[in-house]
Amino acid sequence: MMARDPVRAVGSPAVGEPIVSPAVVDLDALARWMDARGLGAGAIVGVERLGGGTQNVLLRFVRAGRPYVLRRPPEHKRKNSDETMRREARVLAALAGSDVPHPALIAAEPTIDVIGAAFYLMEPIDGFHAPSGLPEPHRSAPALRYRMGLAMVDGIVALGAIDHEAVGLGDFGRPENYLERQVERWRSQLASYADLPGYGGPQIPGVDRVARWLDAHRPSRFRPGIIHGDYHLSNVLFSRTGPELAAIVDWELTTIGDPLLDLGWLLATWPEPAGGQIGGAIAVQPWTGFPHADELVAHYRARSDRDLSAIDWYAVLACYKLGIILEGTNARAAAGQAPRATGDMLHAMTVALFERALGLIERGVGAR
Amino acid sequence: MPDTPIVFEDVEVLSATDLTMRCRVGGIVVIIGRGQPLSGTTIRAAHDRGRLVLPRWAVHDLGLPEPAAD
Repeated sequence: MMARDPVRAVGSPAVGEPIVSPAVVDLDALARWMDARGLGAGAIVGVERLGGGTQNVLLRFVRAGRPYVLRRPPEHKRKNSDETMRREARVLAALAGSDVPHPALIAAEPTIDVIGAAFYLMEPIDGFHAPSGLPEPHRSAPALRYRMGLAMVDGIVALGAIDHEAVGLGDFGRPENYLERQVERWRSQLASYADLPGYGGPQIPGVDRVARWLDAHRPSRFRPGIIHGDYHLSNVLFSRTGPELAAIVDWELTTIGDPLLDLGWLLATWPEPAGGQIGGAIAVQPWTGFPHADELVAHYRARSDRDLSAIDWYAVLACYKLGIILEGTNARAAAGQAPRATGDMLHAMTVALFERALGLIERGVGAR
Repeated sequence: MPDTPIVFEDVEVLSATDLTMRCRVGGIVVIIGRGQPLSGTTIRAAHDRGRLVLPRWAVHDLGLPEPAAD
């Protein structure tokens, strides 16, 4: 969650240390699998581990002069890790030829027979991760940064405009009663934390108020579409030469739902007012020039025929959902299952997200 | 969202960010959003010690016992 999982290098191993354990990716087995699919020949070289905030493994390598990026679950998989890889690969395949900037899928392996996990290969992305630092010319050009913000909106407008059934994703999610399910789903999640020993309760000012408001103001209808599910500044890569998105990355939470929730998520995590951190360590400096939240909404409205009259509701829901997700780590920290400092940090973000939700309820997205 | 203000004295700010303050209120450590303290609050930065005024609903949600009336 709040993953930073773009395609970027995180450094080299010490001399003599293998870049990747055969237990994580058996390169010989991978080469044989690629042979069978006509994906180059000869040795896999230039292997480089790429980094990000999630535990999924990203490996960049070259074969027969062509670069690839492999994505697989962490070595110690969770229950749904392989299925997540299959779903990601399916979405990337469905996005081929669309206006949505994304890593192009090269090939996928749905079984665990080759490397012990489902995985897929994609094209590397030449782009940068804004929270890691802005390169030139972006660093020195506020006008460029303004357009970067709008480009983020363009990405989800394009995603939300796709006919998910036409691209083969008709059975990818359950859009029926999608909005009705949301609050109860996350309220139950929060309640489940009480089972963790040592967690004394949420201590989140506004948690019940926000839930009641969401229940009372839920939009009566929506138009289903593809949602990214974790759309924020850390899950996109920008072009090195312009304001455009190079790719939207980390598709592990993608489903069929209400695409306006992606806009709500972007608003909930938008680092206002001064580029500070909220919602998961997202901060970009310099922040001057980036558009204000209401300008993101206006840009979306101008490019989509979706009804944005309830956009505050989506932003509040995003604060609620993300806050409860982050609070889970605080609860696990209380039970000794996560570092205490991490729990404290994420609890503070949860408090800030709920405060943002209360502010949205009182003043709306347009307030400055 | 008007609410009855509750006043806590001798509150210590353990740490603070642009968005939140981590405070010791009585023997309880809580994290409070920057927008929650009401007028009359005298603490703001790390190591401040003084008065914290919160709306009653926030006191309830934080699980803080209300101070006894004088």
